[in-house]
Amino acid sequence: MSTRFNTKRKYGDKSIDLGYSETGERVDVPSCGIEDIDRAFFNLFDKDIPIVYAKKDGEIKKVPIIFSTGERFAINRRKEPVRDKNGALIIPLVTISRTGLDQKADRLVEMGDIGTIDIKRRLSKEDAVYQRLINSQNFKNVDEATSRRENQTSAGRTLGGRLLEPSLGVGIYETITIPTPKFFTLTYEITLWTQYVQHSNDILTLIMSSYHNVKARTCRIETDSGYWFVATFDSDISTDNTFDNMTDDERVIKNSLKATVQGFIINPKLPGIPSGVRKLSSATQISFEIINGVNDQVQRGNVQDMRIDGHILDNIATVDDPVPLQAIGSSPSSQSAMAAGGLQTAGTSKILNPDTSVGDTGTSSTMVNSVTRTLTEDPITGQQVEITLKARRVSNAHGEEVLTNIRKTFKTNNDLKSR
Amino acid sequence: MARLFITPREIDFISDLNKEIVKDIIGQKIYYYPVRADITSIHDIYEESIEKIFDPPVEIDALVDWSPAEIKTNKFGTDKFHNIEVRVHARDLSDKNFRMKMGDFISYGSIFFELTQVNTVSKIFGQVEHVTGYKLTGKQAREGLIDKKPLGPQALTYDTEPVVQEQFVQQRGAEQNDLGPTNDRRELQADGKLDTPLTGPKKVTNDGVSSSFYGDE
Repeated sequence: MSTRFNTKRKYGDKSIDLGYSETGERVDVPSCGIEDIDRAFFNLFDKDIPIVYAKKDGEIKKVPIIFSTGERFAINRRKEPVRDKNGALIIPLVTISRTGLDQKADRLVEMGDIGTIDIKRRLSKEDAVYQRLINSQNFKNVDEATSRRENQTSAGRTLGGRLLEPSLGVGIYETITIPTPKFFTLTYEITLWTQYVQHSNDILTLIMSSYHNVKARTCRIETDSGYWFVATFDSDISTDNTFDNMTDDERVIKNSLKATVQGFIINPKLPGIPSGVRKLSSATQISFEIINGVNDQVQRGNVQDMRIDGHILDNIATVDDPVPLQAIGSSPSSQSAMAAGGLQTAGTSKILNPDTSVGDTGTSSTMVNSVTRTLTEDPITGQQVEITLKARRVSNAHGEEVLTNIRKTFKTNNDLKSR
Repeated sequence: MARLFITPREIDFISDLNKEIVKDIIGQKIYYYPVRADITSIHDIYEESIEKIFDPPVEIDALVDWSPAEIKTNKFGTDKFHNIEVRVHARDLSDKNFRMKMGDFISYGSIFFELTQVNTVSKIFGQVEHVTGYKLTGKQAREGLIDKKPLGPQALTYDTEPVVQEQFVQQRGAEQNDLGPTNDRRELQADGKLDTPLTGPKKVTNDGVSSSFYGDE
């Protein structure tokens, strides 16, 4: 018998990691759960929507908001009392109560349980040491370099020893993973208590005008730790007043509206639950290859790249930098480099597959139709030519690439100087 | 009744008579646990506190209307739940500058109760500023709501021996009796309308024979 928290999983196990195994280094991310959404929804009415009313003397007063769960002693001794000295409720008043919790969310929101999800990939702190060892920038005098300069790939643009644009190549990356979030749906009922129809109208107008999307009746609610959700309000606002029976009842106007919030649980911090947030570092790649050439310019797209590899350099990007854009035939890491200030990605001629590594016995990936332009010398004539090659097949498992020569262009010395 | 005939002296007289019945004859006590909402950590959204901070308990003379527990039995077993109604003397509370509030806790015997209602019992001869006392309605507080060691006499339970009150001592307006300071005040004595009782507070001990009432002292 086990739960998600104590499922045993050993090294090499091929089963899905549910997020709480012993692998990886534990790190922390803010938790998010039911209470955070309750608080965010409460704050929507308490802080974001300015629910006020005008008293007889013209004083503008904030309407108290109560989450209907309080203990007697706490409700009766609030700093801002909601009862007068005789114990009667002071209205206008807005009460919020959570009326339900559904363990599933809309299928358009809820994601499947894939064990863990990667939420962030970034360069490891050890990457700087590694880059120095492999001399990725082709510095002349590096004692610790394990490779000779002439065997290195072309470096990024440099000026005066400074790198002008980020260059993401082979490196040590760390990936932060969390267990698949648990999605759920919360329903709330908001009741507006007023003595006057005018006050009721004012508050309802205020709420109806404050939707982000007027037609969909939605508001964005945000937790203190930065997670945000969408509160969707039902179209119907029910009215419960005592106008028909004022013989026995006091005159009170109550309007009720319902709202639903689709939320999720991330990294719950409760006694007995281990942290599910892990930091995994990529293995150092050792590659035996000869690289000679420059890639075509990376395609820019129109859609924001949501893949985490596109956001590796987010921490050095400025607000003026473009966001990583997704396009067919472009790699997320190249987009990340461009978004972080790169003028043009000058990567290697290795075709868009970063997984070529020694000892990789994983699945063989194949990529076709990527175009590489290589500048070389004709072995027979000794003349400089530009040969455009088309990759037909790249196999990780066998370390082979099948290229097809599709165009050959002879270059003069002037052409070469202009490059 | 007209204010012409019910003067402040009558009000004091009625008050002292009731104090005498409650404090010097009946002798029931409750222990009142005020919650310190100002220093208790209260959840800002749910307005609840798992760990409440209390002022020291206050011993209060009272008339306790004891009712047997309500026992509910279902597929999970039995659930025994007590309710209580207590009446306290209004003037006695104001003498001690003490105010009771809903949400505070009381104990009677070994059971703790949360006050769900604090209501005025009646006005003295229709004079709105004078009330006879307060009726406290309490619901049993389960473990976790308040975790204090009960004070005072306690009945026999499954796992505890009964705690018997060793002695009962009257107060009779004296500043001190055998049990210590009384905080008792009788208005007619304080105003010089009545003399202090010559024989002082009487007491009853638990040896079965010694009682001031029977002249055993």
